[in-house]
Order: sequence, then structure tokens, then C-alpha cells
Amino acid sequence: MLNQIKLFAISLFAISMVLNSCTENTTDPNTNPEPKPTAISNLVATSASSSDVLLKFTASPSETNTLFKDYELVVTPGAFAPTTFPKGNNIVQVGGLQEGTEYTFSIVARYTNDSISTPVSIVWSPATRFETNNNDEVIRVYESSSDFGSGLRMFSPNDAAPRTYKVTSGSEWDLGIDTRNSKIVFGSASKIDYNYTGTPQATQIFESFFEADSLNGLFDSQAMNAGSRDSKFSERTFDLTTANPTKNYVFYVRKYEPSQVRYNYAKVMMIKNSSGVGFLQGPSGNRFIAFQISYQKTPDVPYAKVANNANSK
Amino acid sequence: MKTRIFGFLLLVAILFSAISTQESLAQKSTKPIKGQVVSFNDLVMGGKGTITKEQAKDLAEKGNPIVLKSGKTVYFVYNEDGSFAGKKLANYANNEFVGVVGKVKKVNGINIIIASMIESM
Repeated sequence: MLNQIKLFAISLFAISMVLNSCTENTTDPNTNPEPKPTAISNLVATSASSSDVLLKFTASPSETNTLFKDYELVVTPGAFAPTTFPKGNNIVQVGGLQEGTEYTFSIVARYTNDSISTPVSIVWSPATRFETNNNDEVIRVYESSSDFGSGLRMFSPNDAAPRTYKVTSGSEWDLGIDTRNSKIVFGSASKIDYNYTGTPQATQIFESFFEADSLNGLFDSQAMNAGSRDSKFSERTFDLTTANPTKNYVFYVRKYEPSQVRYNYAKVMMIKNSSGVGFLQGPSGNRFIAFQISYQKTPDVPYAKVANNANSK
Repeated sequence: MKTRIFGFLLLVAILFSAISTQESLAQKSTKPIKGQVVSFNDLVMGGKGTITKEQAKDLAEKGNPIVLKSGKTVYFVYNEDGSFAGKKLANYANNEFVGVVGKVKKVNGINIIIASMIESM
């Protein structure tokens, strides 16, 4: 009997302890919570170089609150200390990165009361920027009638740079232009009917192209092959004969480099003629189209992925 | 008499037109002179002149002439502003062939190209 009483007393004590601890966990003693800043939105990114990424976002509406302190950026992986920047900056350049590594960039807005917004993240990788070719000159691809090359290899491993080729080096071509029959056609070399020596490299282009003042001005929130985008790449050409661009055209391109079984991705910007109509410029007979290229040297890194908690578009 | 004068003027006009057209065509030639970028010093010393881009840039930086060799002809290449284009030409030294578009001159026996365009071929 005594044992039963002891057991009952111990049970009562144990139950009371459990109830107490539950009460502590479920009761919010703070009936007037600290104000919390609203998160940034529309976080997008672009690769500025092999070591730099540009981030752009719509500012937190809480910037107008007197409690607003600053933004904090956290970059992972790597030994990056969190960095802060003041309100009024909606474009941030992050340096010291490694091409091919997919970094997660997370931004929170902070109040002076130490409360922070929900983090917004994007995953991105830097990529090499080429504004010049293997000869340290503007990347030029020439009209069909020129003695200079009409074909472009986005990245020539031997030169570590883009290179222009003639049809006698057809196997080196990724992309090309065709100005025969008073047309201006740009696209996958395999889809341009030249009498090549060798077979051009299979190079796929996304079905749509984008207008931008510069490669730095073309931000994106998702990978070049994200979702349905992946099925919209193919070897194709674009007829730009009647194009009258107000900005440069940027094409998303991918290909297997020789001996690779994963795609290398690139953004190829066709520069509009600044002093005339369309894209062709230069003296008749040797007119050319100028290009700039953002090339991801690491296969299977289509620049970007949207992290699960991101609310960018 | 009027017919003769008219005929003479017509002949002059046709001749003038033909000369102008020929001159215009010569100036606007788009055909590049195709050759290799070489070291002039090496050629003078009996070598083939063959150089890499890095060597060519280094030589050009030190004031050594980098020139275009097309067949057995050596061309000194100048920019349109009158400056020597050896440094620019040096950037093309890694190419098997280079094309230079421009006006060709012979000055005191020296072959000169006033280049409007240099490109790999």
C-alpha cells in the first residue's frame, strides 16, 4: 500500500512537471512583439565576371521606417563574412567568388531593434566575360562575302578566348552568320548551309532572345534551363534581316564541349550598330557583327537556381 | 562645230568618270593581304621570323618591328592615323594567317600598308 502511495505521488509529481514545461513552451509572454522589417522582393542576379556576381532587388518597404538599420548579405559556401549595406542600394556586386561554384546569396533587412526580415535567397555562379577575342580585339563575325570568318567559337580552349573562323575550319564553329541573298541570319552553325570543311559543333540556342543595354543589365531569377526552358533549347537560326533593334540582343546558348557530356552555358550578346540600323557595321565587303560573351567554363552550371525560400520572380 | 564640242566634252566626261571609278575601286578594295605576323629582326638575321603572340608583344613593346610577311613580300603595317601598327599586329601572331585590309604603298622601295582592318584568317 505504501509503495502504491509512493508511486502515485511520484506520478503526480512527474505529471505536474510535464504540464509545467508544456505551459512554458506554449505561452508567449511577449504580448507586444518587436516590429519586424518586411523582406526584399524580386531578387535577381547576373554574372559580371569569373569572380563577380551582381544582385538586384526591390527594396524592403520598411526602408521608410525609422527603425530601419541596413541590409545584411550572407554568401555560402566559403569563408565569407556577412556584409551589410545601407538602404538606397538595390544593386550589389559580390566579388571574390569562384567560377562554377553555385553560391547561395541571402539578404535580410534589419531594424535597429535587432529584428530581421525573412531572408530572400538566390543561387548563382559567376562566369567569364569576354569582350575581346583571341587577338585582344573586338569579337567580330563577318558577312558571308568577306574573306574573314563568318563563324564564332564561343570559347576556344587553345586560346582561352572566343575566336572567329572561316568555313575551312567548319568543325570549330558554334555559331555563325549568313548574309547571302540579302538576308541576315544568325544561329547554330549546324543550321547554316555553308560548304564547311568538317562538321560544326552542335550548339543549341534558347527559343527567345532578350534585349539589353549590356550583359550586366540582363538579370535573371532562374537558371537558363529551369523548368520548361530546358526543352526550348535547340539548334536553330534567327532571321534578323528586318530587325531594327533599340538595344542589343542576348541569346542563351549551350553546347557540349568536345569530350564533355554536360552542357556549357553562355549568354551571347549581339551588339547593335550604334550609328545605323540593325547589327551589321563596318565597310561594305567586310561588314561585321560585334559580340560580347558571358561563358560558364564549368559544365552543367546554368548560372542560377532559385532557392526554395526565395520569393523572387 | 557644236557637235564636235559636245562630243569632246562627252569624251572628257567619260574619261574623268572612268578614272574616278578606278581610283575609287582601288581605295575601296576590301580584299585583305594575307600573310603571317613575323619579327623583322629575325628575318634580317636569316630566320623565318616566326613568333608567338607573347614574344611579338614583348618585342613590339621594346620597339622591335613586327611586320606582315605575305609570300616573299614584307609589309610594314601602319594605322590610319600614321602610327606604326606593330603592337596591334603583335596581337595576331598566334594565328596561322592574318589579313590586312588597307591602302598599299611603296615608299623608297619599302612596302607599306595603311591598315583599315586587321583580322585573323
